[in-house]
Amino acid sequence: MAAEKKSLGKEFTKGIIKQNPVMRLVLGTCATLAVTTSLVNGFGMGISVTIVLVCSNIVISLLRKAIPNKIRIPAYIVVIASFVTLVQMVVKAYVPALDKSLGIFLPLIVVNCIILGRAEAFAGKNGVLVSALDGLGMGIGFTAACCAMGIIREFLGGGTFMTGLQSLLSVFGDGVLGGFDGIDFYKVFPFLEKLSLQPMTIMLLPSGGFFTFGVLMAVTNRLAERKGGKKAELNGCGSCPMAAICGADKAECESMKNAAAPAEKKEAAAE
Amino acid sequence: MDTVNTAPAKKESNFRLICVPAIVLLLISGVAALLLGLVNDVTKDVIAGREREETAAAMREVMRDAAEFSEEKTAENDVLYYEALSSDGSVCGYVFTTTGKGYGGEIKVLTGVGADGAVTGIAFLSIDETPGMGMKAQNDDFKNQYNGKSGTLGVSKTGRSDTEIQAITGATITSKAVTSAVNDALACFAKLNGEVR
Amino acid sequence: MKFYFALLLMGLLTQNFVLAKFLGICPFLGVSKKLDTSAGMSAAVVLVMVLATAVTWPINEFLLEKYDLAYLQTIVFILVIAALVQLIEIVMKKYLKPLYKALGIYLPLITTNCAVLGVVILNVDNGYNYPQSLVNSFAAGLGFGLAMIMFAGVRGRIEHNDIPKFLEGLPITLIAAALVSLSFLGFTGIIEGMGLM
Repeated sequence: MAAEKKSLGKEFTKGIIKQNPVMRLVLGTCATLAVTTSLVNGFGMGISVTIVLVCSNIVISLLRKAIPNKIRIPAYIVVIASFVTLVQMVVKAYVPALDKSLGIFLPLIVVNCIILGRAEAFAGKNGVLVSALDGLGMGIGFTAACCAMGIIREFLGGGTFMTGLQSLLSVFGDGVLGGFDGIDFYKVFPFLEKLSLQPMTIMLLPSGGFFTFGVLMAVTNRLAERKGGKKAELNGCGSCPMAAICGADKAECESMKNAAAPAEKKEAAAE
Repeated sequence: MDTVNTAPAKKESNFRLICVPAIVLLLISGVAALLLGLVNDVTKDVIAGREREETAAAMREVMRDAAEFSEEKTAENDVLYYEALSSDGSVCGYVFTTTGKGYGGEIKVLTGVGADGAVTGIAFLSIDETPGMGMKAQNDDFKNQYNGKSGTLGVSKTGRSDTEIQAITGATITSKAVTSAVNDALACFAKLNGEVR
Repeated sequence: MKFYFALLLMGLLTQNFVLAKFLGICPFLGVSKKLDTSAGMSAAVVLVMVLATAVTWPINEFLLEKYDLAYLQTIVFILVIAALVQLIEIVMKKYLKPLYKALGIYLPLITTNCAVLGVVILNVDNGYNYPQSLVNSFAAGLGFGLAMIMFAGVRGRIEHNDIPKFLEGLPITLIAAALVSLSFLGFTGIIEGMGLM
């Protein structure tokens, strides 16, 4: 118990930097790449994922003794999907602008590997408080990564900063923060246009998303190495929540020779 | 365990193997469905209200002269439209909801058409185009091009004229989609106007 | 007929799930190191996408929409996909051993592949009818496969090159993906140019 208490802080902070789900574990990349065309969108996505992550971690941790091992994956999926639907409905009702800009990626939080991954790797085995903290930390880490991507892409791709803020804040009423709705650098510095400095629209396109992510990954790798850590690696689907019951990862290494072995493992888990 | 136990014990383990997981899963799903149903009850009115509000605001935007609008009506080709009524209750124009196929899916356009057959304004009910390209259609600079135009409109990449809309750079598909939606609205107006006369 | 061809081209080129829509990035980065694994994964994805659409479309149309339960879409779709994947696996294992050996190992991974849930939701969102949905899913799967297989080739080249040290590993892979995605941008307008839309 004492050990658990000591590690509470650690469980919370590990997701933010050391095991940042996006930059270090390379999870949830689809959402990170797709919706980060602006800081506000990235932040909205991050918050939605954090809420789902914390709630599902708590519920799964509460139910961990009641759920038979064999049906844990479908049970987790039901719990996660319910919270995603809840968030979806609330966002649609109270922050419609966010619903519009996240589009299909709002329901797709269901298959965001971070959430199922944390359920499988952590919440299904640990107490409620630790699981909640773990989810919160991971969520904040995810949000931070999304925001970083969003800031870079929005600034380079559109020459703006925090546009659309009011639509996100509309939950709290009109004109919060003095009606601050982001900065358009082309309006603040009119000479930019005279210098014929155009924003790089490519950064807002899918290609720019991949590029930004690659550069950010190089930077974080470098920082991690300086601190003596390891590079973020893509070990097949090693970080994927289904890795334990899936053979694709092993096939990657052993070229399908051992197809039978993981398949059997899978069968045991699925029956 | 199973290998050692006798038949009745095996039956119990069968129950444990199949029924317990099934019941647990059923329970979880049941609770989830109940919860979602409850939340849906609360949020669906809010969502519907918000959508109505948004449409109403967009309608006022495209048809500034109107005092109020009629109920939703259906014209030929399933185009939905509203009659714009001036303060004395006479019809002073129409607002049409039409769609065009854009790059990222359907674009829903609200087009206001005055009694003289000229566009009074357009607004988007739903648009999901590429940020920085097709999404620029939402800028007033592009939308205002339609104001005052009538007949059938075309799209040009080089410049604007009385019958041509200048396309957004790099987003010709979006520009064409919006223009085709507006053209549908204008065609619908022509038919309605013919009937009225 | 024209529309079906447009759907195919969209899924393959202009609206490629991986390179333009950011769906299915995890397997795209994770399983594309070798040509044979990416081909196997792609085939499994095409199969599951088409079957999932074949099942979810009627469920959505005749159950969810009819009884005003559209808010349960996400949860129902993901459960149907999960169950379907299990079922395919069991049937394949029993009756189609060779196919199971080739594709079976990728099946569990597909449950959490957002491309599958994505295509199912997009079909509903875009209001495609049954055959259109099936063709769209097939095209999306093919597009996923095209990206996977192409990228396996690209990665093969990267392995044998001298990469700046700080870009080694994942960063250079992502930058390569950026370039591939950029090249696909060149297909923009192909559908319009061929007069399909």
